[in-house]
Amino acid sequence: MIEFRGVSRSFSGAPVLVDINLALGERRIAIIGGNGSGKSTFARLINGLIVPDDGEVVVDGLSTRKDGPRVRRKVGLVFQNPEHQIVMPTVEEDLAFGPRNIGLGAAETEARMAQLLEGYGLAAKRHLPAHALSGGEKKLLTLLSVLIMQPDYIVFDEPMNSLDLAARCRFAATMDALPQALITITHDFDLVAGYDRALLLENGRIAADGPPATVIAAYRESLGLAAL
Amino acid sequence: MQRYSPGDSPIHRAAPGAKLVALFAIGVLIALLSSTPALAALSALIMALFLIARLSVRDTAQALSPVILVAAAVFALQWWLTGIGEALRSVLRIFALVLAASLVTLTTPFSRMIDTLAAAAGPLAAFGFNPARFGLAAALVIRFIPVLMNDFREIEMARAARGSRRPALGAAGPLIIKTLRMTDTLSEAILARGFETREEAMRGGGRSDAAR
Repeated sequence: MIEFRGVSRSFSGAPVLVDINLALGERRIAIIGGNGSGKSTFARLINGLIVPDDGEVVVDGLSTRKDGPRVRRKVGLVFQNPEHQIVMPTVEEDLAFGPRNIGLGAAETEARMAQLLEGYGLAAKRHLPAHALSGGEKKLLTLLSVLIMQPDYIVFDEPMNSLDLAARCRFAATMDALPQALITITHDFDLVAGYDRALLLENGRIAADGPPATVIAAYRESLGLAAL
Repeated sequence: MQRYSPGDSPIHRAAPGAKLVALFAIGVLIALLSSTPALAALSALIMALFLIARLSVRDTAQALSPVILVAAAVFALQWWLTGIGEALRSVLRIFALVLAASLVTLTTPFSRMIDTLAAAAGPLAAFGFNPARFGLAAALVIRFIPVLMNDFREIEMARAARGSRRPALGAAGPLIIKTLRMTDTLSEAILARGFETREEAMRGGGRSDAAR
């Protein structure tokens, strides 16, 4: 369970999120809203990359303020642009980056890596430089680099950005099959149509909360696009 | 830098630190040797190590290919300035050094190399220097050279599409801004993947400042 308890956050004096109170327990949650509505800040608050100015974010009883590193092991974050998330020069080394950071043994790291590379069809590219991968493969690598840490929750920040149609379909199917609870920030309404819950962020507040169809309709209406 | 070529040879299994020390020693030896047969013998010895490491002829050729033009230019210049003997020795020095360095990178995973460098920088922790960051910085340089080159090409194409005729240096400003913006996300990504835990371990404990 992820809880936002009276969470507010500003940047340079400008409020980005204001007094958010939420309990997120569903398996599939979508966060939608316009540019600058606070979606990315919301994502970063969940795994403690930023902490609230006021209030508290709690993940399975752990406060992001006090237990940042432990929270980050529970909550993986897949960033918008894979180029900015791949840290090491080769596929294998990038996958091993997280496990090595947390002191996971070589045998366990290897076992997890082999399973993921085989399971997701990247085994043949194991020793390739990351820059030699296609856009879809880079995106997949960023997901695998999160999965190897075995998180309970995964936050996706605009997962379909810059993917072509084939890669989008493949990545959506991959996301759909994940056993973890997903929180997906997106403008792609088809991706989240079957989700359990959606939240609409507007001007740093929750403007709508409910089934995706209802929330998306509310969003369209707020933009004057209900008839489109 | 040559890409790691997986294998199980004695050279692959050797400690990265030992290989780096050997590389340094070979570098010194190359600088000290002044006889053509000795330099040729050293080059042959290094090529024999390629065989022991079970690296292919293609790996060897790829190791040398980036310096062939430079070596040819040095050879021509030295021949003109000092004669064929010195020209030959200069080229042998270049080939021997490049082959030795490539042998290390071809047989050592990059992550083990940076672990070794970080461990070697360990004593500097007493002066407030974090060895984990040193290793990470080395990895990031290698990782982001192609990314930045690609960004540079994209900016250049965008400028050309808009009729820019200024030299390539004009792309430097946008590239710097783009890179600085990228570093914000990159530092978050590094943190999100548990780097602070490693940093703390190498620093020998203390509270993480990540959750600030």
